[in-house]
Amino acid sequence: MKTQPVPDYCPSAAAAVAEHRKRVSDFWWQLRRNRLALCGAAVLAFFTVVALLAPWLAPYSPTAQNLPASLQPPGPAHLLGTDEFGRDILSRIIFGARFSLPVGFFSVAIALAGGGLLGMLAGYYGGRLDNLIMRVMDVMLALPTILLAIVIVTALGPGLTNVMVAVGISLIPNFARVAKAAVLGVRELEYVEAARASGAGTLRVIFRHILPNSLAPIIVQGTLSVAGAILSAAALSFIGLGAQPPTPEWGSMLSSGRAFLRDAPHVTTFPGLAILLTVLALNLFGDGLRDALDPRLRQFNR
Amino acid sequence: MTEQLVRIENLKKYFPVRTGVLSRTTGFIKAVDDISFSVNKGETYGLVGESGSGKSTTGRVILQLQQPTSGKVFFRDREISTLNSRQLHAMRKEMQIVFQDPYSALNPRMTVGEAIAEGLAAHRLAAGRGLQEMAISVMESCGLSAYHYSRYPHEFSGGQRQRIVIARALSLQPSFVVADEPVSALDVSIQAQIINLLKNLQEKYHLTYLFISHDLGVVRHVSDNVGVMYLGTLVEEAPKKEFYAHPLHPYSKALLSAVPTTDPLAKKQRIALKGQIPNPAAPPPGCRFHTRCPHVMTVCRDTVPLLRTVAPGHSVACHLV
Repeated sequence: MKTQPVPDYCPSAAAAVAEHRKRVSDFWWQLRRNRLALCGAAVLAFFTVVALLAPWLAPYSPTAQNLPASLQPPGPAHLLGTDEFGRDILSRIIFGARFSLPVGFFSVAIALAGGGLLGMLAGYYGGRLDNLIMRVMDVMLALPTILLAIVIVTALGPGLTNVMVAVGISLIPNFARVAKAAVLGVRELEYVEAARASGAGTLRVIFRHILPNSLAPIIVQGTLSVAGAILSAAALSFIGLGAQPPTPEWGSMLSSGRAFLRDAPHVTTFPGLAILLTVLALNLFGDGLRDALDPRLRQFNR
Repeated sequence: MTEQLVRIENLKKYFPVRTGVLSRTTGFIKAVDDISFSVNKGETYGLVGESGSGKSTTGRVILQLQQPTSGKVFFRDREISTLNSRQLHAMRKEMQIVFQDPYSALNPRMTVGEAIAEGLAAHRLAAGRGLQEMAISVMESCGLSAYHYSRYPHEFSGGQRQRIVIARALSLQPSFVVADEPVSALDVSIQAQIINLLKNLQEKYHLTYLFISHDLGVVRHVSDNVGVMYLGTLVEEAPKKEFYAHPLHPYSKALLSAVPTTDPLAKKQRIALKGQIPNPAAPPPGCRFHTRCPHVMTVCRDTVPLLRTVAPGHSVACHLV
């Protein structure tokens, strides 16, 4: 990894501007030099590629049943063993990435967009709007997340897309709270006042000052929520509201393997590991992203 | 010769105290309660008082960062408390602020150059290369170097950060600057540098300052006129020399007696005030200072003393004079 030395003194404005450009591009450099974040990104990329190339990578069909070979432990024929219907678990995990990853990402994206926006509005404007938004959020929080998701998905009808929407909506209050708290902390700082005094408009204040400085807890909340979203989607699948039975989905594999936990632990272990790896990778990547976005944590090779 | 640049008349700023789930207003914090003064062009008006006396709120209301509860603010004889947002936006170029704490006054995620150029960009005064050159020239006049442009605030010391804050305030070439305790957070040796920078800039750009401070030593060095605030009201106002030679209000005397001197042999009588500044939500009746005044009389407890002129430019609100 090659780094340019930071000049101790740039005599001209042009040089200063050039150095400025270099520092802005440092964001990627900072992200790249964080090994753990890089590992996280690699694992996520790996799962994404697996999901895209599933039909070519999977040794078996994810839904083909082979009852005589049911509940076989990992072996040469089935690398990760088979489930109660003799379906190859490796193939199911590979195809499952096509369902579980989007469920996790899209539902968190919905929650992030909705909750982040609502929380930011509540925190920035305060007063009545804040009261209105946060009381609605409190009502939503009063119901357990999964129950709320069940209500929504029942209203929308079963199916994977609706599960994403339902899980996303049910996570909105958490994001709204985190975003509001973060914005409240930043809003009163003097640099926001200074920006207003120098004539910066509301949008400028929000996007240049408040948003960048309140992003860190929201990113952490986002990366942590993906796991919860995948598991919520799994729970919905389990009660028949999400992915319908033959569909290979990590969460539903986990739920259906539960019955054989004592005799065939591999049926639940491997989908569980897939979820674990995804979540771990996301957390590492999220932390790296947060640090790379914060100039105070940057390191320079002088 | 002296021309008024900023004038405030009967300015009041009450903050509602809300309690309970229904956010009912149960009272008001009277941060600024009916004060009037004017700042002459090219001069420095030193506004002093202890914490909670309403100095900073006054500064913010003048800049329209907070709406006054009542009263008027005039800038160049134009009332600015009633401007619409577009007129106000144009007016903001003329008036800027320097904050006390240079750590919270700078956005940690913006480079120094971006922070200083922000006002220029918000007013569309320049763009691209021209914007950067303008920002750099302001930085240089504030004792910063061009290569600081792309540094982040955390790379600077307190004194340098305060230079950045000053450069940001001056980037729009304002004529009026509210300096809200600009040196209180700095080391004494750095204070001198920043004070001198402010004075040099004042000469160079013909700036007018409202210098808010609790440090009478610093105020003596920079101000032309001094106003003393106590619990939201102006208790004494005088030209600098007059104020330091003949302070009349007991509160001013107490403040002045607390200023340390460099002469170790000087025998000074310190007037120690007892207690704390009363709650501005429920100010004492009569003279607001009577709870701590060493010369309290019966009349002080129920009659509010009015600000009376006792000498040219010197007015005081006290029953003793």
